[in-house]
Amino acid sequence: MGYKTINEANEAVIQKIVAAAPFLTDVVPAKSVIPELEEHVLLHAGPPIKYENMTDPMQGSCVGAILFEGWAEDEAGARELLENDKITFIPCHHVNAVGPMGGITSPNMPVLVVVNKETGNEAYCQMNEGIGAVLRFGAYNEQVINRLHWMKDVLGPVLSKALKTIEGGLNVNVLIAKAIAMGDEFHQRNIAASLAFLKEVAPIISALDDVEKEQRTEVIQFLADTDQFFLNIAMATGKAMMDAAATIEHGTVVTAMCRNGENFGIRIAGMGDEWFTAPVNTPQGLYFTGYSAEDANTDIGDSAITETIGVGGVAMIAAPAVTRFVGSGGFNDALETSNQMTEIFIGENPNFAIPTWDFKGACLGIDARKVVETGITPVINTGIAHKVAGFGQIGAGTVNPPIECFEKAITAYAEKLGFTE
Amino acid sequence: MILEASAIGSIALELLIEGKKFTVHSIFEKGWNIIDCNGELIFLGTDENGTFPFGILLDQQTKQTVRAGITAGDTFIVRNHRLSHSRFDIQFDHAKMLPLNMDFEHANINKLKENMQQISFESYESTDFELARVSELIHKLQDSSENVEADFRYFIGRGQGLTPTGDDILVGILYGHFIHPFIAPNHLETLANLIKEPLTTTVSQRFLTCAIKGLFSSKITKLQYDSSLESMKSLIKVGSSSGKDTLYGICMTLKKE
Amino acid sequence: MLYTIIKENTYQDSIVLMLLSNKLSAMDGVNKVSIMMGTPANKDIFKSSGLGTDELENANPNDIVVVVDTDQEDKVSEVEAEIEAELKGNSAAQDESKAQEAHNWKKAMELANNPNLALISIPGQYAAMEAENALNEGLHAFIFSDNVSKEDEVKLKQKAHEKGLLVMGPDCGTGIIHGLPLAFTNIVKEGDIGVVGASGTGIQEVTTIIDRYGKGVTNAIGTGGRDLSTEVGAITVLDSIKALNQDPKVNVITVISKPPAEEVQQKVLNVLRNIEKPVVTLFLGDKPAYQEENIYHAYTLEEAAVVSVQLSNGEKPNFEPKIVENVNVALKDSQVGIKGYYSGGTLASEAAMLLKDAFKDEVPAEKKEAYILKTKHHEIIDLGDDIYTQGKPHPMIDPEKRIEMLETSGNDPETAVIMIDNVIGYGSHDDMANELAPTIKRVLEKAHQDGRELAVLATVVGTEQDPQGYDKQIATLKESGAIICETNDQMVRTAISLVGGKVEQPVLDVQNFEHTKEDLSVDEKIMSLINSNPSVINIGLKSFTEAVKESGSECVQFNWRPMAGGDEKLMKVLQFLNYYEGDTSNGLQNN
Repeated sequence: MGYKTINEANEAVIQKIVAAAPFLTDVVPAKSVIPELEEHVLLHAGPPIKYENMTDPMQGSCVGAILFEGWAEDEAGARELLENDKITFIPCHHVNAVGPMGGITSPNMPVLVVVNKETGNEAYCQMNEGIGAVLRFGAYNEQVINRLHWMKDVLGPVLSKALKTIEGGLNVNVLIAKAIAMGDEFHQRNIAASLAFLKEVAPIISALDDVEKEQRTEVIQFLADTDQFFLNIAMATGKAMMDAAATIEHGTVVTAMCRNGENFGIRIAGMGDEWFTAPVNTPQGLYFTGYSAEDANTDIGDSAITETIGVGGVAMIAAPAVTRFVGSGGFNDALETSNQMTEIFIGENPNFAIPTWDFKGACLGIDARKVVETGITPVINTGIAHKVAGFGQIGAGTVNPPIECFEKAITAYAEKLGFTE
Repeated sequence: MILEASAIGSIALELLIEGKKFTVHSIFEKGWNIIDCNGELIFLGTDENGTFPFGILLDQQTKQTVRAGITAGDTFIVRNHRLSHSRFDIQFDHAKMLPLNMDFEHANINKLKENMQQISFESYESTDFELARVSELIHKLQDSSENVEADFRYFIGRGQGLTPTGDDILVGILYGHFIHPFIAPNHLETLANLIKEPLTTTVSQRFLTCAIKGLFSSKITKLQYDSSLESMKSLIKVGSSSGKDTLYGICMTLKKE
Repeated sequence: MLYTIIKENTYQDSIVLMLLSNKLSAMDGVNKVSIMMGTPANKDIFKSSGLGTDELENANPNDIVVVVDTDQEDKVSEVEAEIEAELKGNSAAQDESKAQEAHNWKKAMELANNPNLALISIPGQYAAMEAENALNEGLHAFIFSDNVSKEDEVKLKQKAHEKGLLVMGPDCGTGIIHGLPLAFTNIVKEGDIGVVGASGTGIQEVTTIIDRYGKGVTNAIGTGGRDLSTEVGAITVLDSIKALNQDPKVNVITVISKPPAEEVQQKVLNVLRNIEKPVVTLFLGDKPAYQEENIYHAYTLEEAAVVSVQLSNGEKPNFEPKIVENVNVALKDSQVGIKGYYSGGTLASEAAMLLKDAFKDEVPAEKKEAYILKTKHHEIIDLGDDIYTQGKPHPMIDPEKRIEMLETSGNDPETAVIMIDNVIGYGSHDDMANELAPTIKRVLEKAHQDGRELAVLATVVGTEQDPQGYDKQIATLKESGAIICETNDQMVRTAISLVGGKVEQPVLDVQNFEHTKEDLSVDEKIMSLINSNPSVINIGLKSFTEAVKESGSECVQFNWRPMAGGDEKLMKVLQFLNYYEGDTSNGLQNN
């Protein structure tokens, strides 16, 4: 079905976003829900990219994933596979998934399953590994690989059991609504949501009779330690919402934003699965002691899906606590950022009312036309990775997509509708 | 924010057609009015002034939340069984229907008459609506050969307030008619036609069109079930004088021989 | 005295109205006050209680009406402030945000209250696109910007006409819409003369003369100078004439333009011949060759204004050109030149026209660049011409070039008369007379020292209501030694007579012409534009917003910046998408 005007089409898309009913239902091995994940296949963040063009951390992640899967004995073996094109790469976004930072996801990694009950579609995202040396930032030492195994063998199955005891799964909108009132914006700050999640699952996990006590304790301890655990749930949720919205297939609402370290890619509803890409920017922000902008990796990861649904950097005002951390000034600056964002978003999402914004709903639906018209691009909150694999996170800040993505997208769409110069 | 309506009147429900646009017309302490492109009006708010067939009932909290966030001229659109504003969605698919209360035969006319004795309407003597004038109208209304257009024109839109006193009295007289019919059909028709003219405020127009069809505010229809002085007093509390004006109309109707 | 205050479409709890009533009654100096909704029955109450006023008739049932009886006029504003405060109540905080400015169309449309007119003063290359956006939003467009291509003008005006909208301009310097002065305009009393003009200062001269004769103009519709070209075909002029014809408040229609293309002139005249209201036309530059029963063909701006006034008074047209008599200046035989330095282009053209008429033999065949007229002895210059304004403000704002010209010509021993105009009103210099006066004085003194006498003639285009004050400007110029002429016509004729020439006023026969029947109907949107207070979105110069607000109309400032950073292709893409109407599936089928 077509729409008479772009506005009508966009309206339909944002209605779909508002109507979404995301539920976290399970944690399963990636290959069980993503059939494309066969032997020697890896998923990565962002639009399509070749191995040789990946930045160092992303390549490091690949090495780590291969070691975790046991496709090679050591780093040299892994590199050999990679450099000789023995590994097939698929963007997470192409298989209903999203991945943080490098987004490297291998067949046996556990993924969170979020179902959008409004439309029935599912979305997947691997679980947050915590901070320090982690795979998503390109680390692949023994400790990293061991943690991945623990996540596969303990964390995943335990959470799966716990979630299955909740009939219909965990209503993510409820968690988000709660946590937004507690100062989360779901990209840089997830501590409230992670705690809210823990509050839901801790009693259940404690009561799981068929899990050893030690493992239960480990899992709860891990969840308690991992402030950003909810980020990955929010990402899968965003993906589930936006994939449903994309089925409208018309209009100029942005349905995905992601980066692979080389290019920033966006999709708009009217252009289906087509990526509109341009070289990524490097995040601006604050660095941990001893690091500077010179050490920073370029912009990377699928986590900008959070901004696509109107939270993250766009909802900076929701999380005054982190405005300084990301180097964007104080409360008033955050307010200004969010107010400015209203110029490129179409509406407000009544499901996500932001108390610090006088209960205005989070921004709803980026209109690519408005981005081009105003020259204002969405603000993305992001972690900053070291450009050398293995160092991990060295800071946090904000980054903007290159406007060319939006220009290309609307031009392509106009041409599709018959525009000629 | 998604909010729930507690109850909804039948006329309001008819007007809430998917995709239809309403504009905030006026905002009051107890709620606000929205109108569609045809000037049809819906009241959203609490039941402190009673409930109306063209009303959507909200609880205090909901009313306050929304009222603080809207301004006159804002748009509400009916979407997925919700009234959507840019900042709020008011859901009404779980709302219960407001009863129409058209069972006028329950009214205990003698009891009503008796209790009304205790309310003084003397103050109307010094106004544009002295007892003799109202009695005369009521008298003429019984006789289909009388011409009442000029009298109606005198009443409609006359007096203080958003629902001018004359209109409220007419609503009272119409209620009196429904519990004990006496108005000749041609006069009702005359009134129905007059109301279509721009003789009074949009809000008042709404009350009168409903009243001609036998649809009244719950504060009025309460008199059918409870003829006590308390019911009357709670009607009197409506508006600054509207309730009393309506009661005056009812009283004068019942007093006719 | 009774004063009526009407708050349109305002609703309040009865209790608020009563509180307000009590408050107002208690005010010192208020004898009586009544507040009610403006229903017919309540209007009767106002009347029967001795509070009836004429303004009451304008109130509708959904308006709050307040009638105040007070002997102190200054109480009224106090009462008004009180009402305003009470009605606003706690929503005051929200109103503050309403004063926001927009930087895109969506926001502008949101902030504006039922807007119907876009006032556009952004760089020319973008003006056409924004005017089209305005039309797409259902707004009439007043395009102050110049440098809009003729093709764009044709496209815009055709689109507007189809949509029942009016495009005024491009390069429209002047307009009065329902009493609201737009761009460079004088404050003119409202009245029953309707003006359509393709020339800015032409409109200013005619409307201000009408004002000074005690009559008024409620609508003076500027059309832009090219409207009567063959390509544009007078779309705006014709729609405007029809609108003024439909407007019952208009009794005389006055049309001002440079001589149009022949076929366009016939088209315009044919429409005018269908009209029963008396019409005055001025095709400035053409000497009329005939008169018509119902159409008065004027020769000069003053004539057009004076005849319009006469017709509005129900009198027979009778124009006698005037000159300033008894000019006490002794010219030598060698002093033969008339020099006119104008800030108003149409006034310069009128001067050139009259000079050519008076000194036919002297006029060279070819026009000289930078001059409106250059003969052996005389010169007329429009200092507003692009040649003089490159990188400089317009001479209505900047006196520099005129001062320079005054000095140079004053020193020329051949110069007999110098003519200058002083166009006041919105947009003009705050006190141009005061800028020019010292130079006039000096030039006169210097000539005197050199043993010559000079006549400096000056005319002020303006009204007493203008911020600069007509009388004050005249007084300053007079004081400097300038000879004040009431109109440009009189100034030029006086100059001509000083050097011994004369312009013959044509005496003409009335002729009859066949005309074909013309549909005189006009879209309701145009009627509503000229019949109600416009609600304006001002795109560009912020001072225009302030002027509109000062005049009591609503205006939203749209701080325009080029869309998509000024990238033309992207701007076109955006325009295509923003106003796409059709089926968004169309393209998909091809995939």
